[in-house]
Amino acid sequence: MSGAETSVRPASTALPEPAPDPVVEVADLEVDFAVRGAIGHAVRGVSFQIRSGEAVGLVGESGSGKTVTALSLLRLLPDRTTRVRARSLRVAGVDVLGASAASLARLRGGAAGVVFQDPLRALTPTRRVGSQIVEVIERHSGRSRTQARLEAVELLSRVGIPDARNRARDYPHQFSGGQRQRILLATAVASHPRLLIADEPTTALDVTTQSQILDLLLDLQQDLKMAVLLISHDLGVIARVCDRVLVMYGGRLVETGSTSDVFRAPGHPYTAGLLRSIPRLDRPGAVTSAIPGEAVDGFTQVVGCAFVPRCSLAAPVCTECPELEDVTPGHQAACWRSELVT
Amino acid sequence: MTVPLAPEYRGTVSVVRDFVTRTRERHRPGTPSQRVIVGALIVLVLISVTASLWAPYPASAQSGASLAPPSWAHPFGTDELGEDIFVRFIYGIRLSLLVAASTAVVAGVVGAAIGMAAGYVGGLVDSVMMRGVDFMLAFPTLVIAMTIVAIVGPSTATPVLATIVVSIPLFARVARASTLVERQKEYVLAARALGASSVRIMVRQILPAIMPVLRVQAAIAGALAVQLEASLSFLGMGVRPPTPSLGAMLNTARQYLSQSWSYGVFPGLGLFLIIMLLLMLANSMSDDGDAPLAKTG
Repeated sequence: MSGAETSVRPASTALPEPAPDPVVEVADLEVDFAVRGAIGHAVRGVSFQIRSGEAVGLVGESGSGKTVTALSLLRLLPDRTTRVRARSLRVAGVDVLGASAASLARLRGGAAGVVFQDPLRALTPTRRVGSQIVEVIERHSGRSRTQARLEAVELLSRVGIPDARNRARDYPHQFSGGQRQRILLATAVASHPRLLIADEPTTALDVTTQSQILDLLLDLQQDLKMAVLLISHDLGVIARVCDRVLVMYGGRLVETGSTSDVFRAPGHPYTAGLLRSIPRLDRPGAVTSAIPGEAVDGFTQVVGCAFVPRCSLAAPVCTECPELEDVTPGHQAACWRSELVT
Repeated sequence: MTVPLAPEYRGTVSVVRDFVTRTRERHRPGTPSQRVIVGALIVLVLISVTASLWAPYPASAQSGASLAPPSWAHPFGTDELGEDIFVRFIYGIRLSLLVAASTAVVAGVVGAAIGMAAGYVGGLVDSVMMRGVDFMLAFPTLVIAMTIVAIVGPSTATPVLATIVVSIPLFARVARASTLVERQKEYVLAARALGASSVRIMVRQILPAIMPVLRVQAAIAGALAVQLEASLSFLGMGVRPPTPSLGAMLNTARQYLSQSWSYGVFPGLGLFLIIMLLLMLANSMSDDGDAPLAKTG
């Protein structure tokens, strides 16, 4: 499951009838954080939308701000040390920045589920997995305990846990890594959310298991007609699952577009570099190359395009910050020289 | 299963076998040494709680000569009023165990709640609560306990109240420190991402995780409470005579050391036994490491 040799999912066929409003609507999201007196900028102005039923990938290196972006969608960042600002930040119709604690709690796990990277650390180690799912169902759908228990067992077998009725009474450490990620998926979709945020859901798993979990994720998405925001640094994973992709670098979006457009003809040198850094089975002679230099972090002062120090196309014009502009309709890149990118 | 069985019985056999293995796994918590220590404490509790049923003499009534040495009729001898020291010793142990248990439970619940709230909420709540805790920890426990006795006035409940109040900061400190570690973990974030409230996370995610530490602290606090109650009673600020207390017995025995060796020795041994058992329990539990995971296996 590594590498872009996996066929790119056709973007046009996957969309169901368009929903009235986007599930996620982000405009000019900025996230600052304080570490020992210093102020860092994790996200420096990001705007995007996710329509219902759509699978969107968020790609970028470690520290590019992708997890912070995802966590701020549900305001899961620690209040004391971070500041989240946006012109608009709406998830499933809820104004996240203005919402009360109660409506945030209803949103979290209700209309929006989250799956984290490390499935052992994300399940409560001291509680039986069944009761963890039951809790979510009870809280968000108001079912009785008995009804919720039945649903939890159903859900466990739905995500592929054999002997679900008995296994529901086991603790997280009694499951394998893949099974734990299945259980985590079950808790995230227990209340039939409109949006599923998956933060590197397959990174901690071996390749075969990765593939199975992605199949399950796609399956659940079609079944429940969820929108999915999939965060990954693995372009192969993104290509397989997502209709559309957002590429982040240095806290900004540098490229967006349908997965096939972006992967076939990247409009930003960073995206092109990412694609070149993957070994390809379909082009045996092609040279794999890493992107030179180091990624910017939140403390770097950035003037103009953040990618300049690592960019082979850098020119004087790049000292001004480029905005996202159409490369082709529906495919945008934030680069002055995107027509030169190969 | 080597014996061939009719198909209709196989289900039953596997259910029974399952039941046997499960009960075997589940009903023997703790290490062998913990089971011995807890067993000894349970025996002490049973003996002392049922004392009124089998004790040959009442706790406070003359039953023999004054300051008699140990004999078959009076295994630990008699005190200056001719009361049986063994019976008073048993009742004294009952009081010490009551003090230990109520302190461990009440101070444990209150202290853990304070510590978890301070650690989880943080900020101003944390500062205010922890300065209060620091203030109490800055004074010797005996001084605080004596102040409480002076305010409330001596009664059977007063030393219990005093030991509870004095022990709360111990639990609060430990609970706060463990909560700070636990709340960083991803499953707490995951629970929040699924809409769990702060109170719910504290009770269902954090409390089970810090329980092993709190259990150790409970055993230590129990031992300290026994010692503190004995000190108060020794100073005449504990339970009122004639209610038997090991500390008060030691105090009286001090005046008769030259006449009766047994009067002082046995109450002292009683205190030693209870405190040692509780501290051994604390010690063995703190060796468990990640107890909740190890135990559920």
